[in-house]
Amino acid sequence: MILQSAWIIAKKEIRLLFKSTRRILLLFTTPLILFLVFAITIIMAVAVISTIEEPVEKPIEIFVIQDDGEINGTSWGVQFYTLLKTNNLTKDLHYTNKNVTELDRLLESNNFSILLYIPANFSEIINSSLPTQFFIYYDNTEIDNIRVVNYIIEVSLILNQQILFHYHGITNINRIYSTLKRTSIDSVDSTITAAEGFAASFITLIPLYAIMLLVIPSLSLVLISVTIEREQKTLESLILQPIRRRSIIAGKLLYGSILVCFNTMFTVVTIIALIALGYFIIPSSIKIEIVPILESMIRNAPLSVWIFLLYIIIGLILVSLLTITGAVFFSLVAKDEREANMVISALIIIPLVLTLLVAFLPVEEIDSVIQTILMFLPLLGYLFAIHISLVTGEIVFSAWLSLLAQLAWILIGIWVASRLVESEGILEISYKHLFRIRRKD
Amino acid sequence: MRMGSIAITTDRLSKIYDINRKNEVQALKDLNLRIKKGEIYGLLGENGAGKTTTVRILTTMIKATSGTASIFGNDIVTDSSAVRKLVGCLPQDAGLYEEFSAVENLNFIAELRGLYDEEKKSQITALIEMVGLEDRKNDRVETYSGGMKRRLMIARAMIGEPQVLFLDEPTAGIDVLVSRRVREIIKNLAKQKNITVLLSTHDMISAERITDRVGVLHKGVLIAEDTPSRIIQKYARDLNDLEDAVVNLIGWTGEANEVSA
Repeated sequence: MILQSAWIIAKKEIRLLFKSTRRILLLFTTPLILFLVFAITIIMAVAVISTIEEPVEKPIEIFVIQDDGEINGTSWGVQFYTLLKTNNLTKDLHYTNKNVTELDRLLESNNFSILLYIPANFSEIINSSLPTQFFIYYDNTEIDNIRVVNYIIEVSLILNQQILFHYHGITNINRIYSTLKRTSIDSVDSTITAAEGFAASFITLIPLYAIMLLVIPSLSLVLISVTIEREQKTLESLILQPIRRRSIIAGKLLYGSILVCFNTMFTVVTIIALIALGYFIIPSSIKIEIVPILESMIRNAPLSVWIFLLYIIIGLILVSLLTITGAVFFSLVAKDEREANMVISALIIIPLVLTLLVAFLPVEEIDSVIQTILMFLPLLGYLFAIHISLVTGEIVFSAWLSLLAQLAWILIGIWVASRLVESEGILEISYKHLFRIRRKD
Repeated sequence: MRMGSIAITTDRLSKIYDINRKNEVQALKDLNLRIKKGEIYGLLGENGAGKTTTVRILTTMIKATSGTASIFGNDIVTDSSAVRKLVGCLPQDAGLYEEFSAVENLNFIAELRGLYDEEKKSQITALIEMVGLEDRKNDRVETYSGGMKRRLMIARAMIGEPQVLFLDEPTAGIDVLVSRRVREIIKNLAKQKNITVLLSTHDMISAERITDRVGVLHKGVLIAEDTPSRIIQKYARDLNDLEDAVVNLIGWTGEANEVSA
């Protein structure tokens, strides 16, 4: 019965939405912003690309210094080269053998694309599993060498050895290395921690922007739908109908949820359309570089990454419902749209601003009790839990509890709003009188 | 439990508003009413006399502090849902969905009252015809005049064919021509559909012309109750009309309270 009435009310709100230009504009805010950002990006990219001259494709010179004698027919230099070759079929790779006496000169001049140096005792060290360090891979190119690097790392892992790389994207290689083996290259480790911390801060902001883009337009529309009942004095005729009064709350929540779903769907479709458009616009030389990287990222993503994504999505759903519930409750109390806007803006903006602060705060400086309390707060708690998870590299238990806390806040919000709409003073309620309201039934 | 031809019953109905923790206001005191089925009953009185409070209690919007009331035997507290199905109400400060047309406004309320398809369609068509809005039924309400909106509100109150209609100041803020039209609609409703109407009003002309009986409230107390002609006969002094009678009645506050007691 409640659901049926709720659906009738939600349907009415959707019909009203499409009768107002202002509300339609609000509904399409996110896709419009995305289109605008995309248009600006494309214009800028086209302007930049047009000024860049197309580079002439040169053959990639791979110098191999095979100082190590072949043992059991294994030539490590040839093996690594073959791997590179099979992974870069479209590229023109030139193999050149060099003598070990040329190593210092080559390194000094840095005049090579890729240099593979297999030291004299490489096979011997491998066979006897002695701990040591090798500098065997020098890379000045941007070709796909992930498989080679992984292969070298795997060899080194089996043999408990460290193999260091010189590479144009050193952080990337070191990240792969540290994923496979949490090892002890101090200088590199400290660089990763700082970089990871900074990245965590930025990644924390992604759900924040998602909330702002996906939820806030819907929140404003729900706010309008509630305050307009009071402003146009239709609330009184609504509560006179033979329906449970709490179905009014359910109707508004349903309307808000439909809006969030619609907004999310429309935004996702817009993003896919923009990506597809972008795919046709960007030059093929860039495409060849980007696509394998993306493929590799998706293929190599561990389970923990997918669980984290699931955590973010569940959290976003809960936070969306929470903000919609908040909008219903606070606009029910407000005397008009302006007052509701003021209160809700404050209640949404404060946690968002706090998140910006928290995201860039070193987590280790926050007391664990305060950390837990922060995670239980509505909205802010979810964003803080994401930040903690990113910094610690795992979804901590209290982060899952934070999701439960968001659910609890939603239920509390619905309960209070239902009590409020059932109170006999609902028509005269205001923030001033909020705490003096009495329940009707 | 049915009570024969009695549509509305109240027994010692009282309402005290808690303005703040120290101040209480007695809006209604020991109100006893018996309104028959098909009767148009006028509730008269000055501002703050308790008319709107009575309507709000009887339509289950607010709870009485003490006393009981029922609509066709259905207690307004324990059977509030049944009561809401039986009653239609035009509240004093009611509004309409301005961006909707007349049809859309009625459509929404009809669905909330559980009407669908043909039944809904036929009722809406009949009501729009009854209040004379056929030509503008698909126009947005925001383009309507005050009188048209008032007529539409009456139609809205009639959705679901209620047996009792509460009209709180139906002619407030509208001109004499529209006021006359509204009176005709109310009279026809009672006559043709045998609907009981409780009319809370300041409009003495309406009360005098269309009501079968009137009750005069003063400071929450029913100080007189009779047919308009008898009220005029008993209390009018200079002008021999209902307004004069009510003004005189309210003037005799002390005596009136004794009458009610």
